[in-house]
Formats: sequence, C-alpha cells, structure tokens
Amino acid sequence: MNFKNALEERSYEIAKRVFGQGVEVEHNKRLQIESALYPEVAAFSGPPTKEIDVITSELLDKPKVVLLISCKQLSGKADPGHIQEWGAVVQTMNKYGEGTQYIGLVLCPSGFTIGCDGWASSHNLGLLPPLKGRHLVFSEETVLHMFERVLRALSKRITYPFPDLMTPPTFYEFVYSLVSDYEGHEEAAREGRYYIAPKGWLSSFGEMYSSITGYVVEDLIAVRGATVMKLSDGLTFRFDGNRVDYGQTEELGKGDPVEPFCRKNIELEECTFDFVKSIAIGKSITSAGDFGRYIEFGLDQRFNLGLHIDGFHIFSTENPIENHKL
Amino acid sequence: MPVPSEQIILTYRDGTPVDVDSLVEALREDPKRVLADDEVGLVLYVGDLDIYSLKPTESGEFLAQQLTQISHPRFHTPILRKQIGSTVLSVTADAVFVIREGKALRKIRAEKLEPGMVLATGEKVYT
Repeated sequence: MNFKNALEERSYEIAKRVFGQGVEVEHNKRLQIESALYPEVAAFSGPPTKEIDVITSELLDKPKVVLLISCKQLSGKADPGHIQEWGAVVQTMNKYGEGTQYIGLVLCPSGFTIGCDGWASSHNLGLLPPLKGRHLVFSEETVLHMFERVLRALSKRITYPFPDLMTPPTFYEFVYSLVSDYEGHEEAAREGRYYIAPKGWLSSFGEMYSSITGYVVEDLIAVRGATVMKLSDGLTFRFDGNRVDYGQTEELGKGDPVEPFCRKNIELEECTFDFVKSIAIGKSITSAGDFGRYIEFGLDQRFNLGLHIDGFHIFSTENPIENHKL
Repeated sequence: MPVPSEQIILTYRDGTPVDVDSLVEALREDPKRVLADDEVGLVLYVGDLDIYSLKPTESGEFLAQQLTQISHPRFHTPILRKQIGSTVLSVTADAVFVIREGKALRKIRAEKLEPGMVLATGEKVYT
C-alpha cells in the first residue's frame, strides 16, 4: 500500500489496529454520491464527485456507518477552508447515502486556526487536536495517541444507539470530550516526575498521595541511586531524585543494595539504618511532601520519614520537640 | 452531553441522587461501557442509564440534562471560582462557556470570563 506521508501511514495503522477489516486508504479517490437520481444534483459533468485523500473505516455493517478521516500534514495550521471542504464532503455523502451514514474526522497535528471549531461543530466533524481557546501545541505523537483513543471509544460508542451522534454538534463534542483532558496531561508531562507502575503512566503528586495514604510501611530498602519503601498490599514506592515511581510491582524494589546514609531528628544526627527501620516499619502513611531533593512522609501523625537519593531521615513531629528527640 | 468537570449534582430520572464514585466503580467492570481508561483518564458511557446532571438556575430551580458520558480525568487544569447568575461555581480553567456578543454567540474558556459578560442562557457573570 502506498502512503503520501508518514502521518497517513501511522494513522492508517492505528485505524487498522482498532477496526481491523474495513479500513482503507485512498488517494485522489473520486468520491461520488450513492444516489444521483435527484434533479438538484444533475450537472453537465454528471453527478457530483470530488477527488480526496481519505482513510475510510467501516464502523458498522447494518446499518452501514462509515468514518471518513482526513489526514492533513501541513506546514502550518489547517484553516476553516479545510474544514468546510471536509464538511461538504461528509454532508453530501450523507444526503445521498442511500442508508449509509457518514461521520467525519479531521486530523492535523499542526493544529487548526481559530474559527475552525465553529465550522467543525456545525458540520459535526471531529477535530484532532482539539481547539481549546488557548494556544496549545501538541506533539504529533500525542495527536496520534488522541486519534487512537477516539477510535477505540467510537468503536464502543457505536454499539449503543447513536442517532444523536449524527446530529450536529454531538460527534464534534464526543471527540472533544475524549481529547480535551490532554491539556492537563501535557502540563503534567512537562514536569514528568511521577509515574505509576507497572504501566509507566504519568502521574501527579496528588494521585500518588491518594494512592499510598493509609498504607503501612513494611520495609525500607536502599539501592544504588534510589531509595525504596515497601508498603502493605504489595505497593512499592521508589525515589531516585528526579523521578518518583509507585505501584504494585516488585520491579521497583530492584537494584544493587547499598548502605544508606541515615539521619535522625531536626538536627540530622547520624544514625543506623536499623534505627530508622525500627521506627518507620509498621506505621501508616498520613501525609506527604515533595521537597525536590527528597520526599517526606508523615507516619501515624507522629513521625516524618524522608527518602533521599542516598538514604533516609526520620524525626518526631510531636511537641515539644526537645522532649521527643529520637 | 458528557459530564462537565465542574458538574457535581447527578440524579436518576426519579430524582434519586447518584453516588458517582460507586457508580463509576461498578460501571468500569463492564468493558463495553469503558470508552477510555488510560493515562489521561476514564470515560464511561452512561447514555442508557437515565442519569441527569442538575444545574441551578436563577429562579432556584434546577435544569436537568441527560448525560451520555462520565469523565474522570487524571490531570485537572486549575480550578476557578466563578459567580454566574445566582450560582457560585467551581470550574476548571478550560471549561467552555458560551457568551453573547452583540447578535452573535462566542465560546470562551472559564479563565477568560470577565465580570459583565452575559452567557447564552442569559445569566450574567459577576466574578
């Protein structure tokens, strides 16, 4: 199969992966209405046709529903003209579709100019990436991730009653609802500090804390370049200075064992690893703070345990401080 | 309509409140309903469950809109507090509102709403 560019090839592969059979890519396809027996479509050149580059995905057989995808690899943003063109194609195909229903999607990794969304919503076209009323730039990788997310969701959505999807602007909004949250995701990705194992998904401080609060410390481990906290129910937390990983996988505890530097009290006096463990193990996580160079957890609201790249610290948080030194 | 991120009042047709967390946990067991569940978040189809979102109006009554999806994004944009009409809302900065501008309607992000603007519904933005 020939592809015009890498974007088209990757989009086709994604559509094929999601829908299997029924996905085709066609160049300079002469798209012609299914029924031309109407006076308003009579013309000197015959029934209306248009040459387009399109990826078609048959979503359902009975009734026949076809997704028409326009892949645009442009040096700049797509403008309303591109949207109007695709809207006209989908609209005409639907009007004379003889029972076949068409929905349209425009994929343009370089984005869309402001004003495209009005045309897209009135024509009921999905836009990838979404226009969000703010200057946002998504990588091509992210836009293709959006594309796959939308196709997978559509493959399930279409199994429920879908007449509403065919009515503007429902399909436009359906696509938007599936990709608008990438804005927050991309902002978190720029920080790129928290990851949830074993999938390696991007996470956040808030999600990390809500995932481990209440769990009991079962063990502390020091490996080369990282410290690890084993928690109840198989949960593991690993800190290596730049990156925080947590989740239910043994992998996070792996590494070359080393003897950690251990400190106690506010004064950070030296102590042994066994001493830190003797206090921390068996206590529940009750708070957390990310201080950049180290992560600190409250234990039973009585102690603070710090994980550094090369060791641990622990101190009592009870007052008066001088009476609760460890 | 998908559930907007600022919407928190959901009911069944008979007015019984929806326990969203329990509902989400129950529905995510049904793979057919899970439209997306990945590092961006969870999206569930609920269009056949007769669930409505309630939005308070100036008159003190509620406007009910049937939901098609429940979305749980894993990463939120910043939360803003806005007074629109008689209602004070917590909204994400990227929530979309439609305002009147002369004889036209225009979409605008919550973070760009300004006092004095009038929504398509006729409600005025105060803060």
